[in-house]
Amino acid sequence: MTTSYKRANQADEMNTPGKKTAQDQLYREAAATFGRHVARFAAGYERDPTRRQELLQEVHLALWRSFAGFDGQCSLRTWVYRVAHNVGATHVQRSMRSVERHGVELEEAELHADETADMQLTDRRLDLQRVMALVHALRPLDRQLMLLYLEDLDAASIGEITGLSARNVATKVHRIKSLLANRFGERSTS
Amino acid sequence: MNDDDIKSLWQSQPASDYAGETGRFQRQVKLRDLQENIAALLAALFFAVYAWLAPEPFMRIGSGLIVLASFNILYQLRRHAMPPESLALPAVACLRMELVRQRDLLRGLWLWCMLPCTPGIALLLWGMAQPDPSQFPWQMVALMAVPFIVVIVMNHLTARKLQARIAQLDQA
Repeated sequence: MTTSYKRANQADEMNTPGKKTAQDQLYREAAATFGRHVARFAAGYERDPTRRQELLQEVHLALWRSFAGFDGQCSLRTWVYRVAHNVGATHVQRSMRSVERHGVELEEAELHADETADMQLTDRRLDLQRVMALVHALRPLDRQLMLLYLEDLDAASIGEITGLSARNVATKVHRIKSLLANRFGERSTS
Repeated sequence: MNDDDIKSLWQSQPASDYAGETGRFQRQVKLRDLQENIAALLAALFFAVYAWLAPEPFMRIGSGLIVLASFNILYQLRRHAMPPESLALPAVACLRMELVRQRDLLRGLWLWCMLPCTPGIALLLWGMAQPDPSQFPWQMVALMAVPFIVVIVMNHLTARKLQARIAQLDQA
């Protein structure tokens, strides 16, 4: 059981409308600790800055609502990343339906890796745009894995958040690594 | 660039440190609930007024039953809503839960939405035909029955597609 969950439960016991207090408290803790992570995650699901801000607010609303049922079965971080992904994935599906776009799977992205790798981009902003373009080309489940990998989470954490088996995570992470190496590996900065 | 450079690039991007105000969240949730239920509420209001003003007892009873059916629809929608904490499930489990929810809603639409409305509509139409039951508006019934049947068939087809996606997820 996480510390925040224990604290939230204490608030429940001390205060009759404590449910709201616990929910609010958990939300505030999550927003303070993982606010930037969630914002980066939102960037991985929406390119347009205005719509991204809307998505970010949507994720925060979903987080706050979800904490009414937080049971401490997983860590706060896992909870936050799962909610952020599920809201982001719904957002992507809705956007795809409206503009008839389709994300590609990791395997397909690997095939096209070399086609755009010839651009000699040196600016960090442009590099970030290229990473973003790659992320946005992926289907939601692969995108979640890529985002968690970029957030530098280990395989066990990725497995817990995504619900994938350790073997499946290892395979996917291997593919992500080779995809990134193909696309960005040619220009060493070191 | 190696892996660490890419990760560091990703993590160094400007990201707003947004934190919402919980009171605003509560208001937003209430507003959304109202928006989602507005059609059923308006129908209930319309038929409540009609139940009050209608000249014929069957029409009044029929309108009253439609009001009850509208509230039943609201209740069923709420009952079948995804609990907010389901978003904290792993992605595949969350997606599966949502697909199952949509499939069940579509499959059962005739049962929880159309069937409860039928007695009220039938009585309302019967009342409209009074005092001469031979004037019963069969043409209107036929006009209403066609979209009902089309909606039921379409929903079943969509539910089958959803079931196929659920089976796909279960196999993966």
